[in-house]
Amino acid sequence: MNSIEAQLNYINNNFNLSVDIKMTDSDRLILYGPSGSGKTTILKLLLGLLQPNRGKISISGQVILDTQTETYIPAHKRKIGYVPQDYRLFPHLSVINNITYGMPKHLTESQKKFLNLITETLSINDLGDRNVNNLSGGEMQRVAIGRALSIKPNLLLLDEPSTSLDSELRISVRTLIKRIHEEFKIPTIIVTHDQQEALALGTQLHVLHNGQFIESGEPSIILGQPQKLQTAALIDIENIFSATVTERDSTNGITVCQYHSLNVEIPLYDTQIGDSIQVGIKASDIIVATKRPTHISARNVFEVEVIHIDQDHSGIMLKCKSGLSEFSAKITKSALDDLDISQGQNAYILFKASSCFMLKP
Amino acid sequence: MTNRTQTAQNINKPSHTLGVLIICIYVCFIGLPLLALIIKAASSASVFTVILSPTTIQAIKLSIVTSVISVIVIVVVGTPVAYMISRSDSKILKILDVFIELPIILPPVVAGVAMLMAFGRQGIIGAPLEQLGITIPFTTTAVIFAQIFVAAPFYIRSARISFGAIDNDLEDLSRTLGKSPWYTFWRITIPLTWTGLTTGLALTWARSLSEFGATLMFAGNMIGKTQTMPLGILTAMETDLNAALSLSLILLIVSVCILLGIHLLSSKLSKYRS
Repeated sequence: MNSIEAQLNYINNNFNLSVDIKMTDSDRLILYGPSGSGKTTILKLLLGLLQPNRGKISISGQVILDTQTETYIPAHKRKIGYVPQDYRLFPHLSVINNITYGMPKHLTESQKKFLNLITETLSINDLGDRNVNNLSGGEMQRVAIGRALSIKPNLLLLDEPSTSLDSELRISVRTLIKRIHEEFKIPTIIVTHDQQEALALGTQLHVLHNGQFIESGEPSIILGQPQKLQTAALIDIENIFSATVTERDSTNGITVCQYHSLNVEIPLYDTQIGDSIQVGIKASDIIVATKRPTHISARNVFEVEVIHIDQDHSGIMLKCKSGLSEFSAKITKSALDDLDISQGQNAYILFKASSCFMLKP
Repeated sequence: MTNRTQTAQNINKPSHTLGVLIICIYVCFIGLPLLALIIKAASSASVFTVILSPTTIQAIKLSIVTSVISVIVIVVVGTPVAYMISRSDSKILKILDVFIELPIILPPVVAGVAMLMAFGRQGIIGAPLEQLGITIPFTTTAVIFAQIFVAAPFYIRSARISFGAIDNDLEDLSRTLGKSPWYTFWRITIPLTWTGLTTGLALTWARSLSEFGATLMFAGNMIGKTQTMPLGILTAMETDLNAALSLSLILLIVSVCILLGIHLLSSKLSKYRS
């Protein structure tokens, strides 16, 4: 079983990166963060294309870098497969020469079998002699993955694997990456700033901000209900508000907090009455009704005024207000048509206490 | 749409005509002297006598041998220098880059004087070398020195621009695929910069072949030893115009052959690569 352990510290001008990574070959680790947070720097440090100020990297117990003992295995001896964001295929080589670039000139029978396995798994066996400059985005992506796999890597690094692809191809690339991971059993690190990609591919996730992991765990938990204010801001949690704890009901597992004039019920957290806390809730977790709902389990029901209706590719965003308290609710176009709500109209919003989460600074 | 296209064509017509006119003037300006040289040399009765004379053969031989040696030295030394300058952020190397290009703007006669001051018998390095029994000025070695001094910047500049234009990430990727920096240089860097390198090679060879001022100052004009083709033309001009014309024609043919040969090789290799 391949296991990866890396402690990396890298300083460049005002940028200070300090991270700790542990994973096994069953992991697909997501590095999630905005541009400039240090995602690609981590990949380059692992690859040996950048040298950390302090750090240690070991793959399956073999130390490939240790600044204390001055151990440094150069990039070309690390056996780490890398698929860059825009593929970077060698423009002067054919498809097959790109794929076999990292392999010996004369292939043994087992190497030929391995090459066939790669090209069949990636469905690129018919591209052979084609010029890489004439390939589609999806084909380039598969050739780049094939080239990285050809060296039988101990670790596979994918930088924004589906960013430059259209939505249909993105789905097929995600399926392909999962299949490759299952077939070749290589621990994989995927850099992305796409939540859907992180949720679809990751088995664990690190949120990277200014060179530090600010939150780590299962992607669905981190991206569903983050614990840190910075993470919530990064993943665009639409409703983040300051509230004061007014009641703690440990029997029912409920904290009541005051958000301006509204009493909002959230799960029980380790707080004291009078504490000022930050609460988050996703816009998609808020339900909108035109009549006051009764006999429902949702703990939070508020009458609001719809002050703004905004439409984008992902749905309808309703901005609602009750006194000074503001909420954003996300509904579908058909739901808006059914509700027949317009700007300035009164409505009700409702959400479960468990949909709310407290955010730490 | 058609009207708009016609209007655009009408607007472009005067500038297009002017452009064609300027190109014609330029082609005539370059072509006419060359054509005159060819006509005059071809009509000269002595052309074959001059070509077959021992002095001419020696000058041709010396020009080709020294320029080939110069080009080899320039490529071997200049390629890593150009690569290092293109890949480094070092201020020293950036200053070196400007320094390397200095001979392009330096009058060749000044270059010859400077080389005499460095490698001449009383020169900074020349004097101690003289004591060791090594003489550089007014030898065939001096011809090569002068050619390298004057022609090297043309290759280094072209190579540096070509290396700077290729994507560093491709070289990094090659290394992640298990290939050493040396292998990467030959399999990725050189093929991707081939056109720029051969252009620089053609320019530097042509410049070596036509080198005159620095060679005259530093190496002199000795038949069979330091008299290259351009110096042979100078000597002939003083006594026999027909001989000078014949030599000029030969030099022109040799230069054109070199340029064509390199471009042919470059395009063949490009086709082979693709």
